Amino acid sequence: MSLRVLVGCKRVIDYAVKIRVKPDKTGVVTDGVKHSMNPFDEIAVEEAVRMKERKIASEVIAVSCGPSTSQETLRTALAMGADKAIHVEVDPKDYSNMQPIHVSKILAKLAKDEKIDVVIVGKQAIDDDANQTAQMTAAFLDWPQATFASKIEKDGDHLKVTREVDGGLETIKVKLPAVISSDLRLNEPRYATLPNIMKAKKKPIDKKKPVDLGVDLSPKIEVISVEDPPVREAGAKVKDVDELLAKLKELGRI
Amino acid sequence: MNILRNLLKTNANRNVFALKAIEKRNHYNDVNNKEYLPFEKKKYERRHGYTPHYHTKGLLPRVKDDSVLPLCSIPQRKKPDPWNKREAIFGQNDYIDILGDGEIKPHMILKNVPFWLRGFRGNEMKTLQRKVAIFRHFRWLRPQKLRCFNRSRFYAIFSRNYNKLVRDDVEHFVKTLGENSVKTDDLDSYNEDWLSVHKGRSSLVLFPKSTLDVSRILSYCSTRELPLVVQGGKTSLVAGSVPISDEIILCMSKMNKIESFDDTSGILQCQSGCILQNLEEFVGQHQYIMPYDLGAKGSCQIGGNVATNAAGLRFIRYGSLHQNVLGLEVVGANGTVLNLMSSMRKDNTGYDLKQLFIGSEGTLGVITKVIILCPPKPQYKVVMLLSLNSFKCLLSILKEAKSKLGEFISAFEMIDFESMNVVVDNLKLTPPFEANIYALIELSANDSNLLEAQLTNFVEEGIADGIIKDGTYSSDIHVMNKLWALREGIPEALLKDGYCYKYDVSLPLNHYYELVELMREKLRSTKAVRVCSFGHVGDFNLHFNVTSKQFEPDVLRLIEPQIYEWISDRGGSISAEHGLGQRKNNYIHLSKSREAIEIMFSLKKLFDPKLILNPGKMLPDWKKA
Repeated sequence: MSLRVLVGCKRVIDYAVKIRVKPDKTGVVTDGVKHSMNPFDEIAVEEAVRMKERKIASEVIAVSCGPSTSQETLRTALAMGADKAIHVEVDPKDYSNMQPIHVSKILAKLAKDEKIDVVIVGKQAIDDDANQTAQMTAAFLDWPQATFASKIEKDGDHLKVTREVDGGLETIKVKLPAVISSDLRLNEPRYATLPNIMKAKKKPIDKKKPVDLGVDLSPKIEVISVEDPPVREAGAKVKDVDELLAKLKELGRI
Repeated sequence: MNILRNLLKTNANRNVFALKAIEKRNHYNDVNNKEYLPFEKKKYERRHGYTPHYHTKGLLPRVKDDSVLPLCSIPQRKKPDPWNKREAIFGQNDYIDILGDGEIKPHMILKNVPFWLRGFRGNEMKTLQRKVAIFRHFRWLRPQKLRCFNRSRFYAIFSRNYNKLVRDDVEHFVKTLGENSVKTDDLDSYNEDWLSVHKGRSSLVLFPKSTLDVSRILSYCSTRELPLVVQGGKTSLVAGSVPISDEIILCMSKMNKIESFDDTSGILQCQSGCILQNLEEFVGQHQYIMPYDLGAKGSCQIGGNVATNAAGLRFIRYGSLHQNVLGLEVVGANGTVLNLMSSMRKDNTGYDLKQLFIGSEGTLGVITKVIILCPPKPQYKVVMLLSLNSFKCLLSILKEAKSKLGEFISAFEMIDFESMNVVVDNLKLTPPFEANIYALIELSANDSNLLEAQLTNFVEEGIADGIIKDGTYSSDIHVMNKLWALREGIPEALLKDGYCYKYDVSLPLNHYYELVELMREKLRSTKAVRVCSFGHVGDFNLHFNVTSKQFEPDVLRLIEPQIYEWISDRGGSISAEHGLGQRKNNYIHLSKSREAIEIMFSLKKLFDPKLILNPGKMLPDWKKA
């Protein structure tokens, strides 16, 4: 039995870029800033492609929700080895209000439409750090979920997933179909090779609208304000331990 | 004949036969009597054509003069003349120090003597030079001996030609500059160079905060004849910024103010101690970039970059600092401030003096301010790593890239498999694929579509022709950083091998990789761990490196100095972008003609008559100043 895999990839601000908050505190500056694929999603795509190479999966479909620029991200996924891509086109205005619940609904709908066996997404996106999409998708589909996977193996009709938990590693067995979210140490994403980049340019990208999938994009959460983290205060040098103790007492720390 | 006849007659015809015989013989011997000569006989001349310079005939001609005394007699005593010129000036210099104010030393007034000879007594210097020859001869057997000797030789020269730093000097600096700007203890990090090969023994570091400070320091040092070395980020690979002996270190790190930036023209004015990365970030906010980029950008300072004419990664696109530096402020050796601060790109008024200071390695003056032209930041960037079979493929790729992507190329780097292995072994990075030669190309443009289209065309043709074996490219910043890390990590990784022999050379492209292959063959059965190369192939610049577990004289003997001669024979340069410093200064003649070096010396003398600025760097040691 070979599986059909759906991978979610989000377009986020590249992690090497310094983030600047908008002056009106409604969000961060995204115009003219370099974007790339969410690193955890990159790991998810890599894992899906590896599953295909190990003949566990038969087809890998990459999905991205967002404005037309999200197609770049999908091309990257295709260049890494995905077979097909679906672009759920969202108006830039709506996209600023889009939340994990909407993405989960879209993913759930697509998983049913495309007869998907495994959904793999990154554990969280580095821009909102929500860590909700995988869990909510599993809930909407009523499928088992294996979050924070650091190793995925096929075990008969099941998948054996190793998870990173506080105390160490936990291995669970999930029934198929299932939803998996990838952790950092699942794999190291490959570089897209030139022939694959060239091929990716010719692979198809399906375009869909949230309305076609029956998803309403009205926001459920309101963002009150976005602010910079506090600037670290300058330190001071002390001459000896006595002075240090005096200073700490002065500050009321001891 | 008549005499003979008479003689015989008196003997009463005793022997008529004898007479006849004699007559007959005389008859034959008579030259004029041609009747009996069988052939014409010429007069024989001894040593024909040679006129001896000595007297040939008889006794020497006698002198008629009676006044000349015979040789065996004692000469008469000449009355001494204490007022002739020679007697009159005898010993006059002995008292100069006592009579004057102590400023003038005897060695200073010596004329027509090389500067390093002044102050040496008798044949002391000759002995030193003879020792140099001996130790050079044994340099492979006793390398440590030569190194120690060289050092002591420098100390000898320094102690004779410069004054010693005394406590009063330090107090003077504390008074004029303030206590925070003077450092006298814990100076190891200032004395040792980046590769930990050269170490000076300076006992004073000064941190000037303004041009005025630098001017004060230099005018004081010039009157006291104290040597100085200017230090920036100390990232020189030829130890140009660390002292040889006990020079004062002038550390520019506190002169780090950015003075102005013009948003429309991209002209940046800053002090010379600004760190390159800070400048890059600063102009980045205004959507500009610095016209050059170095691996050492985190610590190198713009003043040092200008003084060494650093090239780095963006050279292929924006050219050298000679093109991009518009103005400089320089403090001369005697403390005069030379203002060359022009922010005009076109300025044809007189000699372009600032160009002299660019690449002077701190031997002509101290750069205190820089005006530099920054190009606008390209909006879209792509980094491409290609896997190639051979260096020949790389050349055809370079040619193709120049014709198809010419205006977009901002870096074109070569990495060979050995260099990649270093990064893999020592830094645990993973390259995307295996190859004999890697080409790392950075492209930047403002229009992404145009670049993407050209790039696709380039890649498709490369693959179709079979030149490109494999490859990857990306415009994601984190992927680009990962790819660049493979190239920028090489120097660091090489140091982890143990000892690294570094060569930075320029070579014509047809000989470019030949050097590496030749050396690899030569060093095969030695203790060398790796022979690898990488470099800016777009600018014909090769970084050739050999590593071994520790310093091996055998390995060095096989490389140096043949490598320099080999390069010189093929029209290359022995130092492409690292400069000469104190490691390569004695090889300058392999790249520059004798006349050019003479002019360099006269320039040095003109700008710095007391030779206090960065002594022993760039210009060859044992040369008449």
